[in-house]
Amino acid sequence: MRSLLRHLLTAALPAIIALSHVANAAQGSADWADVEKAARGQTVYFNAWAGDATINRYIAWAGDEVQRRYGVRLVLVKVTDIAEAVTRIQAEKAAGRTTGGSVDLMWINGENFASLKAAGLLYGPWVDSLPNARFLNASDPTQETDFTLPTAGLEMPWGGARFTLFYDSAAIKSPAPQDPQSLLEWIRAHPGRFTYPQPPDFIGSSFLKQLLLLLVADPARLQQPVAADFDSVTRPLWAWLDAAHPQLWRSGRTFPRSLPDQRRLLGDGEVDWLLAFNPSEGARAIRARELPASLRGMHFARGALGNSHFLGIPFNASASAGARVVANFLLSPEAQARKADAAHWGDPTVLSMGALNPADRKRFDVGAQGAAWPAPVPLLLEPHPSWTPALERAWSIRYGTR
Amino acid sequence: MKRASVVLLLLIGVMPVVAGFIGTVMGAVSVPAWRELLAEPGLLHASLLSIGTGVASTLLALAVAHMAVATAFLQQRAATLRLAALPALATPHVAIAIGLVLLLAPSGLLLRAVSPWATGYEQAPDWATVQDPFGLALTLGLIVKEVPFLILVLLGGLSQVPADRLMIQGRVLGYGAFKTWFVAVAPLLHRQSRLATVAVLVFGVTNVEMALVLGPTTPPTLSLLVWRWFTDTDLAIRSQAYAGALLMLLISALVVALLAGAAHAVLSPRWRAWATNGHRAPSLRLDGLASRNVGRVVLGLGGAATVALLIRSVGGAWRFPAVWPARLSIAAWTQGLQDMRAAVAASITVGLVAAVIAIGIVLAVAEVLHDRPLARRRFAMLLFIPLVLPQMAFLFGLQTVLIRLGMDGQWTGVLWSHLLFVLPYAWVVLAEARAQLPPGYRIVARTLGAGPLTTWVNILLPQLLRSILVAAGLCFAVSMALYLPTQFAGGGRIVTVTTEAAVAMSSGDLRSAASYGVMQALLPLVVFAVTAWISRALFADRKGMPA
Repeated sequence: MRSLLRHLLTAALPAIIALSHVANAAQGSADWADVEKAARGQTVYFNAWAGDATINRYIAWAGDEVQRRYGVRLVLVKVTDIAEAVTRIQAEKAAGRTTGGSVDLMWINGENFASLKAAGLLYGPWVDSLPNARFLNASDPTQETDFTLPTAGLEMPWGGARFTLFYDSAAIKSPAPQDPQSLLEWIRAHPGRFTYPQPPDFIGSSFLKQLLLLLVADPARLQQPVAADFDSVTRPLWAWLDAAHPQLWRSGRTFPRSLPDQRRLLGDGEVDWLLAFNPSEGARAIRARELPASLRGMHFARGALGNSHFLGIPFNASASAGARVVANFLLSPEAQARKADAAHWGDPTVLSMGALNPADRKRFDVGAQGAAWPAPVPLLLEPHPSWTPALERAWSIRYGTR
Repeated sequence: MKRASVVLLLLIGVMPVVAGFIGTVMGAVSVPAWRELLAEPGLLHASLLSIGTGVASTLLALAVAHMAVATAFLQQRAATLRLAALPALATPHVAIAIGLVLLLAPSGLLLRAVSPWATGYEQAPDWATVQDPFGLALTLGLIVKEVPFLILVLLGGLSQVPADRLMIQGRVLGYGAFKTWFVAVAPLLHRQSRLATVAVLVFGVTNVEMALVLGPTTPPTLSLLVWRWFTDTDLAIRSQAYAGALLMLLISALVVALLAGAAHAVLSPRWRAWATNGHRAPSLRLDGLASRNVGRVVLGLGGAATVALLIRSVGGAWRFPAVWPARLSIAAWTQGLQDMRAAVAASITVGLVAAVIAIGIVLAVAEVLHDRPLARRRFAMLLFIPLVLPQMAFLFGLQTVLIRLGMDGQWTGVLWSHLLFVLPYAWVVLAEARAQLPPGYRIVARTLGAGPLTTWVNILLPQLLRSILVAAGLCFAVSMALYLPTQFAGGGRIVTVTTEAAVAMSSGDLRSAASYGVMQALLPLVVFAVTAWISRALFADRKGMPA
């Protein structure tokens, strides 16, 4: 009797599991239908760094689409640094505003995510409830953790990034340096022609981390928080910088403020290099006629610092349903493919090609990305977030005060 | 009723600043925060840099402005000088700063113009002509931006001073023009412009926008350090930022006090001895080459910076040493004008409404206080707090107040925060103008049986109209240029031409930044032109009316 039952159960199990999946899926899609219903007519205030006309146009396109398809009005709130929005949410929490917040959706990663998560300022987890979340690339470690912190469904991967160096091939005819040592030799041979944005600028700090990952004896150590061994771990980095700085632009006494600042220096011919976090930056700048067509991109051969950038919803968002609908649309193969196309933005997708059906996969065949696109190299994960402020502080004590 | 207007003005113009300031002080009450602040690497260097650039730029700008006004007055070209100063006054700080970089940097227009044929440079040299470690470029930028403002303030003061009579008296006594001016007229002018000078000094010491573009970075000025802490997402740094804002306030107060003390203790006796030594100094002339042209050079630099910005707004990649961009494109303009419409509309609405409200309230209070000079002086001090306080010392606290009132991110919140900065200017122009109206007409009207309102509308208003129009233009220009207050109160949802320009500038999109910058300068100029035209049309047949 018992064995019969077991037999029956065993036979039925797959069916039961399948049924429950169907039920779950039905449940899920019913829930999602509710979300879409709630979202209709909502206005979503999307706070994003909006310093790039190309990105703004892409977001405007998405706004038109979600208005047409879901009746959601998307308003881009332009910030010069997403930290402004983070401080606003903090101020709202301090003032006791737990609903009706001024931010509905925000573009974040790294330290911003760490601050928001630590202070409990994020809505969710919500990412797994999005229908398009099933296309996400589960094998990409930069989506699971954001600067080593588990994302825990509190932020949705939106795009990928790899630290990239661009140089003017009209000025650098011989093969470009492939590792820190040969870059240092190049800098010594060409005084005044290399520089990097001053930390704590995002790109400048990333450059320090990229160098550290290549120079440090044990890269795995960087996945753990900063501890008393900071000085000994980072010693090779300071040695490299000590050697390079006297030969940098302005003898390393002044640094560009930001990527755009350095882009102007390259465009004007004051330096030969540009550092960026988006491999498409070169192709974009050439198309926008900001930089010469002789620009070429490269990664250090041993690996490029990489991360993902994300979308988050504040705990007190006024239109969280609308925000989720917008996020789901931005995750759709259609929106991701358009974003990956250098003609519209050139931001690497977060979707897994294997999870897509052939028709959707085809959307990503946009052909050659241009000569300024760097050849792929292995991924180097972001260090634990505690390394960023520690490196910035150490940098500013060593180089920021003379 | 009378008291109500005074209370209203205090409520709108002073209370929020005090509340915001208290918020900042509360935020800074923390021993670890001050310890962290004082342990900050480069703090002393950064503070000295702020003080040095602020003091040097203020003193030099004051000297240049006095010289320009004196020569213009002697050559009877005050009106021309006023016109020449207006564009630079209306051009935003950031735009002037970026323009100067495009002009003075090693890859800038000046060196391109003489390269490579005269200098031999095929590649831009590695010179620190901007962002130099001593902040010289920053000082120059501040001078270029503050001279037009001081010129207009001094010209405004000139109308309150019997300069013609004093100059003639000096000449009759055999004194040279230079000595007469600086002994008899300049001190009176200076007294009129003291508050404005303090505002310039505090701005010089605490400004963020210009230091960001022109200042050194290792270390930057104290204001930039504090700004960086305030915008850091790490909450732990926030108290340090509040402490830094207070430190900035202390430093500003100290600098103002020291300079005032130094002027009193060192300059005054020497000036008095020089003034009374009996030397006529007829050979000290005011129309020497230097004094005649120093004002022109400074105003010209401002103009050249704007032109450099304009050229950049239509040029793409532009390798040194080409004097002209390889290709021109008006894409930024055609695209920009489309995107700009909402921002332009918001700027105009906020600016006009703020001007109207400020003028209305100030007129009401000025009426109440017109025969009480002491009360007026105290009022001016209160209203000037937002101008002489570092903006960061109260804006963060103010943001919290607005959030509690549910006014952040709203149009009303932005309007209110603009009023804080617009009211003092309306007060400067209107309160004294009202007080100096000869009482005779009003007394006659009242004696003839006209009520107070009728008297005001028919007798006082026409006499004040010119000042009202000037105030309207000034208020609009001030509102137009406000960045931090708009950003804090508007929460990024209220977008003006100025916030858009800052976004474009921060992203390094010089082309659209330039087009926004030009629009920023253009709108106030249009309003100035319109008010001038109304003024001329109204007063065409009223020659005897006071200006």
